[in-house]
Amino acid sequence: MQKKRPSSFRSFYAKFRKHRLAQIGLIVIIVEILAVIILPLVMDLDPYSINPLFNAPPSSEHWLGTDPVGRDLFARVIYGGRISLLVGFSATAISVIIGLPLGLVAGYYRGKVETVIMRAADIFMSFPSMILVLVMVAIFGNSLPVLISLIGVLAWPHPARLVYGRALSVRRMEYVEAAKVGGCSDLTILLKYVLPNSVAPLWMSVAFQISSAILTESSLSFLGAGIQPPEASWGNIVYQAQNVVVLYTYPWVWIPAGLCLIVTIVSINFVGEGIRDALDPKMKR
Amino acid sequence: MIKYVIKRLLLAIPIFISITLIVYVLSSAAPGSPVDIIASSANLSDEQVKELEIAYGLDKPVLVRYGIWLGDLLQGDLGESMKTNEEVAVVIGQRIGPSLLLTISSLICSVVIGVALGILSAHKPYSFWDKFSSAVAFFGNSVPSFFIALLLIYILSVRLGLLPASGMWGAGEHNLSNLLQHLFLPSLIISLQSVGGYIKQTRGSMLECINEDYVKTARSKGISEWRITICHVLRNAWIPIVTQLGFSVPFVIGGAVVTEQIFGWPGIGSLMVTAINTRDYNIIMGITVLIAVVVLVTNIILDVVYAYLDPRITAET
Repeated sequence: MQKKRPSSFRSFYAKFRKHRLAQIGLIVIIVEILAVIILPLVMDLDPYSINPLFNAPPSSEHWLGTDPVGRDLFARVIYGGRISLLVGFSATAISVIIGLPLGLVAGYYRGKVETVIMRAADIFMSFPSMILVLVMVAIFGNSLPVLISLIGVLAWPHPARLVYGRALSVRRMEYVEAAKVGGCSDLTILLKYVLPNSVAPLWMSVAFQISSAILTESSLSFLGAGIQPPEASWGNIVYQAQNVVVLYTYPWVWIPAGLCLIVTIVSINFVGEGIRDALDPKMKR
Repeated sequence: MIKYVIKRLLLAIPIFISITLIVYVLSSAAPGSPVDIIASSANLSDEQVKELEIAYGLDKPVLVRYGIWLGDLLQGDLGESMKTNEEVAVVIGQRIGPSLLLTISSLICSVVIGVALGILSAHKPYSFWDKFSSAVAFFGNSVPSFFIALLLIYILSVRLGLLPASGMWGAGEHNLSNLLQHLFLPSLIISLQSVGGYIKQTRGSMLECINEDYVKTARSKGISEWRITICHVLRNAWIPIVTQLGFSVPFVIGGAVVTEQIFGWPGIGSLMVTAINTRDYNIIMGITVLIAVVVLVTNIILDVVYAYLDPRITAET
């Protein structure tokens, strides 16, 4: 049997702690999540109402200034963070809910099921997902639930492939054979033996999936095809810089939201690298 | 070899049909058909709406309409834009050149930068260049390209005035150096996203064989270290690099949509964004078809290149 189960949390945490950047990333993300949840409750933030001052530079009243419509940018960046993080986590959850069982079934049963599922995954992977999401948004509209579901559904091949790859080798393990001989049903074998032993690669990549979902949402909103104003999102705040005047003369309108986006994605990816290094003994330098 | 290519081509047909069928069915189910739009603006009676539906062919079931659409497509007819009534094929045709120029130069850019940095880091692992390359790979993956594009425009074009901020040509200047100036920033930004993959693949596969016997032989013959890296070790990295090329094509096409929009590049990507925002389904369908064909054709070309680099592949299938 395996000597060290990857699920043993303590050894994982010990390794994860050695990765300095991953720890910093984790702290940044936690602070961010707390900030976007708590700040709107305790502060008087209003991302929608319009002030007489357009494009005002940062001041004590408006910490990050106001945007071209006169809305408070600090409030918009905080509310935009809510959207970004919400999209990142829930879209990834959806992609795992769809991709995990498909990958598991394809890897365990092989044969025709495998061909159909994995060929479909290949097709999805080879087609630019940005274009697919854009087409789907044009068809289904761009409300927040639709965006989350689209980004999540279109990302299904990633978890499916990762789980599939591991399930291929797990299905030949002795404990699976033993369970078969012992008369366990396929469903029991899948859930009790194949699933727990096939999810490790998924944990390694889940952080990267979250950051890529956030990136997709912000790119869509930046193109005007994602979250629509007056609702705030980091992407549609930066969108305003497509106006040359804003880009050239009011950098405070678009730079903070973009920086938040970079900090968030970099932090999540650092956490992802930390998790990968802690789970994968081969990655150790 | 020819048999292998034909097999690949035949496999591409069902994929092409399923992609276009899905998009066609979905987009015909979307609200806002041309008849709806005319009816809402001109206050038509029910009978007139029916007549219009027959005129547009919308009274037939969706699969029949898809069949007609596919037949038209095979004759090169993609329909007309629902907003400007121009031929979709003509509109797309005008945009293909600039987009091809941009995507191909981004691909070249990412391969050249990625492989060069990969060689540098494999040549001396854990050196400054190695660390620099992994930083480039990490940030290239993490940074939203649209924001970096805007920052670079703001710094290089607005503050320093070094490079043009948008478009493909300067006013009245249609020469090569002007084109290259306009091409530089957008292709650099598109390539940034995929450069990391090339660095990792090149570095990894070169390090794998750096202790092989044939490398030791070359070294004992007194060949210079750089010559060994380039002529003997790099050879091993070509197949993973071709794989990476296949991976990065969809990213380059997707990245081009965003980047074209920022730089006002007159290509397919900015056409796509306009079509999405005005719900011009015929243009959307046309672009989907074009991209599906491009993706399938590049995949087939890459498969053939594989088979050429590694003859075992054709033997297996």
